Amino acid sequence: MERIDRFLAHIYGLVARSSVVSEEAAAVSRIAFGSFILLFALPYGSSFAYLPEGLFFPPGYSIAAFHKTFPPEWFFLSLEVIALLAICALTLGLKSRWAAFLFSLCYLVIKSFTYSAGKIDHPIMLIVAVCCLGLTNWGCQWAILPDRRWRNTGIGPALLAICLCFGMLTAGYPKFRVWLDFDLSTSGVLSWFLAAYHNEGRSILLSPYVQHLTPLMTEVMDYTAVCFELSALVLLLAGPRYWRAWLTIACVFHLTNVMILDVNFKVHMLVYLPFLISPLMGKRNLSATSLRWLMAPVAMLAAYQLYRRFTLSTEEMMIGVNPFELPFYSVYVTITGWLLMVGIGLAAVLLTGKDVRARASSQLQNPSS
Amino acid sequence: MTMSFTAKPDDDFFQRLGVYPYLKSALVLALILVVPFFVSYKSEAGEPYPAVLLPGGASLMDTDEHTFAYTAIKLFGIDSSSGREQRLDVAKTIAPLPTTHLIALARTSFRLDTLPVYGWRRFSYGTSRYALGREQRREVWDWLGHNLKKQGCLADSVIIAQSLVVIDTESQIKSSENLLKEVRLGKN
Repeated sequence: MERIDRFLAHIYGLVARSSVVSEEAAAVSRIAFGSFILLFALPYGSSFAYLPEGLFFPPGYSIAAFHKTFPPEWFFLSLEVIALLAICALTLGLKSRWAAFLFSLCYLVIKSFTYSAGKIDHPIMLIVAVCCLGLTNWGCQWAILPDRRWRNTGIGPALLAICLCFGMLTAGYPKFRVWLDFDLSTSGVLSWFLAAYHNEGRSILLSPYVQHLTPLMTEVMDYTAVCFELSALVLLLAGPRYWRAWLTIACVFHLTNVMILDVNFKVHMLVYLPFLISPLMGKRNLSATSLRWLMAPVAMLAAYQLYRRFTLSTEEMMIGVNPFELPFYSVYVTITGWLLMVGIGLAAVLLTGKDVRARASSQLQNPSS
Repeated sequence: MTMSFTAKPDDDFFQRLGVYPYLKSALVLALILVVPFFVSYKSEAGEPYPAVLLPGGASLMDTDEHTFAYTAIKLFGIDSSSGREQRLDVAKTIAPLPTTHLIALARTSFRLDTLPVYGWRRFSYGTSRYALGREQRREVWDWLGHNLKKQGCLADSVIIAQSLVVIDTESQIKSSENLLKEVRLGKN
């Protein structure tokens, strides 16, 4: 037992070393999370209140499985408003830790009910990231009402990294069993592409070129996808530079997926962001006064989202209008976002090591810091 | 052989966990992460929520045959003026649900089939199979009928057609479409 515990301590040390997120990077990530969610990912479920009880069929193991039907509209509306206010508080740094957990709770309850009509979507890493980063000091800098500083700030990013690796493993393992068949006459990538292209009508930038790929190329794409998804944990344990390299490859992977399949997974930009911007940030003093410029846009956006929500008619709910889906969102916004992430990732890989050396030398010169 | 260990960060957190803190933490984490994965993989209860699971989607196609086949689901209603079958808009028919719910709805005939019940729901229902009651069926038809009428169709009839569509992968043209299954649902 002692030996196993020591071995696990060693593993934790490796994970914590690779997944380090500085307080400054966490603060910037917090603002990025809040702004992104306010713009693109506010949870909405009120229209489900108008569905008949007969369509309520939650997964076998879900919070909603204890309930017999979809909750009434006031229940969803209350959670939506609390979630919106919590995300404003998170963005501006008003007791961010509490705001993060309150938002996560509202989000999970709303989503548990909206995934009770037969289909579960998979933006789960968004909420895993909010919960894990809530365990860091992301609300201690650039915050109007800062959190109490915690000492054990390595746990949150380490947990997030482990969850991300595990999530990738759950995606890669089924593919590993089927796609890795060393048979040029079969293709997994092509089966995804053609189903999306013909059945769902998803045609996007690079779609017309995929059909011209040779069997060898599609087979290599199959193996690349499997290797990429299964290698996350290995590279996390290998060290910070390898971990950041994997995250950068992940950005390229998602960018390719958007351009070929129109599968965007845009919430993963946020999940990768704190790990990648950490070596770029350095030590800065991010005071609350420099955050004042953000208050007006956040307040305006929140007011606009509340206005959209409260002026939504029953008829609009019945036809499936999501008041929180802002009109300017397009696939090109996602592509731009992923391109930006690739750039940040490359810079992070190049700078990894330099930030560690700089901190080590500054500590040698000033041991008390 | 000796094993070298790196310095452990967050020591005071782990010290508070008593003996074998890393082992305890690893077991809790494994419970949270691995159990839902096994449930989704091995149990008929399907994917739990919330759980840290990302979509696998391990489908495979045969590229040698130069064709690609997929199952297409189409919905038809009965035009209220001509009495003829009319292709329905999926988004309008199942609103406010997103169109991604079509497969699940078609598989269960808009939940009008008797369905197996799994997991915690089995305890709350006290049964392993579940059929909608008269009132619930009426509510489903009210919802469906409302959406059918808005498309100029009769409110009491809908057809779910599943067909196998074959695409020629070189020309990217549909080479055949064969009806696999047709379910005609009527209110009465």
